[in-house]
Amino acid sequence: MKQKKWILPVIVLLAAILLPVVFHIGLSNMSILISVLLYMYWASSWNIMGGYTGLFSLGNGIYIGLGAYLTGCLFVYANLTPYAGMLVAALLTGVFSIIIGYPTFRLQSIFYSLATFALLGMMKIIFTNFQTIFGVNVGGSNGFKFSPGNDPLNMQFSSKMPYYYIVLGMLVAVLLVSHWITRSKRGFYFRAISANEGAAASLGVSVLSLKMQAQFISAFFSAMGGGFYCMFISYVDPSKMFGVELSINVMIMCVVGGANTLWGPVIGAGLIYTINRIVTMYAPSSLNGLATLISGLILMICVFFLPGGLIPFLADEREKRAMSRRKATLQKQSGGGGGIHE
Amino acid sequence: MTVSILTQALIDGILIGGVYAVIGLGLSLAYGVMGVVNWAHGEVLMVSMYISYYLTKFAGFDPYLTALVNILVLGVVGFILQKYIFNRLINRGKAAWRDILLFTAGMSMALQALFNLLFGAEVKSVETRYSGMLELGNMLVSVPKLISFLLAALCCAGLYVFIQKSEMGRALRATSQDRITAQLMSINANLVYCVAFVISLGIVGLSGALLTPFYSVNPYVGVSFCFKAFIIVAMGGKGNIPGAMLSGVIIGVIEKLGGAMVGDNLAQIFIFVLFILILLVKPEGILEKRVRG
Repeated sequence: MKQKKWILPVIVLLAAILLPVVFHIGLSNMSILISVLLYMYWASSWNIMGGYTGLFSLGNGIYIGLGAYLTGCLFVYANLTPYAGMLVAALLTGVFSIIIGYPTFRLQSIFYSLATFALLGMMKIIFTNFQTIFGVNVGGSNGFKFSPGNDPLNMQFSSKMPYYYIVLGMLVAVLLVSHWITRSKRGFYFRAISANEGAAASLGVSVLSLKMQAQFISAFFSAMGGGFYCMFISYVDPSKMFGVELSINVMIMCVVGGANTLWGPVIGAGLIYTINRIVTMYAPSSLNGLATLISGLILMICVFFLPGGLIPFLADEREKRAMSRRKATLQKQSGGGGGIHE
Repeated sequence: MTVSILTQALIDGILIGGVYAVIGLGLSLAYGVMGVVNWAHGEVLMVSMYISYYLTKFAGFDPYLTALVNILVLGVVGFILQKYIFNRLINRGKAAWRDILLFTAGMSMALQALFNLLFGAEVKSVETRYSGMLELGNMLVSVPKLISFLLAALCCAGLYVFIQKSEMGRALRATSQDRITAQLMSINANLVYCVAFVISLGIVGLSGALLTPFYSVNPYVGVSFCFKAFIIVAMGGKGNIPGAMLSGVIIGVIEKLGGAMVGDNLAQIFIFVLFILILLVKPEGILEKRVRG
């Protein structure tokens, strides 16, 4: 029974690895695949603080955007290879997230959400209004650009395939960390804080330090994703990175799939992104914004009918079916047994 | 010259601040009583502004009279939403504020996109017979802003009396303090929640009418109002009417003074900074007494 749990993820992973090798995938479809994986990655990163720890951040874009800008600036101005640059950027962003977190963690959870949202708005105004920040030219409202080349050592590839494998690897990494969190003692602490902060604190869980750890891990991974995004499209747009839409979308993906579960963000991101993509592709251009309307409706329906998200709902259903099956077999056995006894 | 510009900005800020205060008060009341935040507050305002706009422009209504229609429509919508959706989410218990935040976030996205589809993204504004300027000394005061400010103040005062003096107001205050105990005192908490939300949306309906004579409407107009309403909730203290009024005026003044000094776009940053400072220094609200030492 225990081994079975491994089989499905491994098969999916193998299929994902072989997919671009076996089939010839066009350039635009490859970009779509990479975007899906990136959103899955971001939703999983958000899940570490938003899902497991209950730090319901509405400003994930802060970390994504900072990661993107830092990686890009380190690459362009300091000639640091993005492989290292992403790590440096992620570490710096993680430290920044702790600086944000220290004062805001004391707030009631609802005001933590609003404070992160306010910070996101602040970042957007700063990065769109200032041409240079700390003496570094970040491009202001035009965004940060550099010309893409072909330099594998600096994560500049002429084909999209390497990007696909990089983001796939990153997704696997964040899922492994999430899996470790669900199994480790620290993960139980995280979920205890999410369930009841006061009770957890009274039982000796050091809430502040654990919240910081969760926020650091989550911001670290989000920023890595931001750095990857920057290298992938060679452009950082402040109104996209620090816009409300990206942060809210990542959160929705996680919540619809099932926050607090390992596979929820992956399923949710895949589902929402696919629906969005199909709607934008097939809807007439006069119905501009239909995808947003549908995302909003999906979120409303999901919150009302599937509390906890898609994955817990499916697990519940399966358990119910298993229960009724077990009941049926028990009845049959007792009926049969009675027959023998007579 | 500069002094007169600044005084002008100050007056402008105070007047628009009154309207911010009413909008924030709607959110603050719902948050104070139920402990949940309606993320779609700004979008509800946007809807009410559209209703006022169309009634004024094409049906020849007086802009301030459209408030009655707005209050009626949004009150009914609020009642239905609260009774059939929010009460169920709240009674689910665990992390109700998160469910409601998510639900209303979906609602806000859907409403923005829907109104964008229906009415287009362009900015709409209407010329009314109130448009004009009043000269006071060497200051210019916009007439519709003045009327709106006075009506807003009147609304706040009326609501204050209702909450403090009426039986329903007592029930509202009791439920906001302790729902379980209030229920033991034979208060129907679900009904109180409905009343709170109907008032909350009704106030927003009124604010939509107050804004229409001098503020243009587009599908995304709600976002900045919603954010200011959040700040008013944090700053004024939950359900605190004088606090909300004062915070609204402070926000209006900061916005307009900042706008006169560094430009409208960058002035927004002052409001964000103010919000974060308030959360850090006095998260219980500027007019609230600190409970624990």
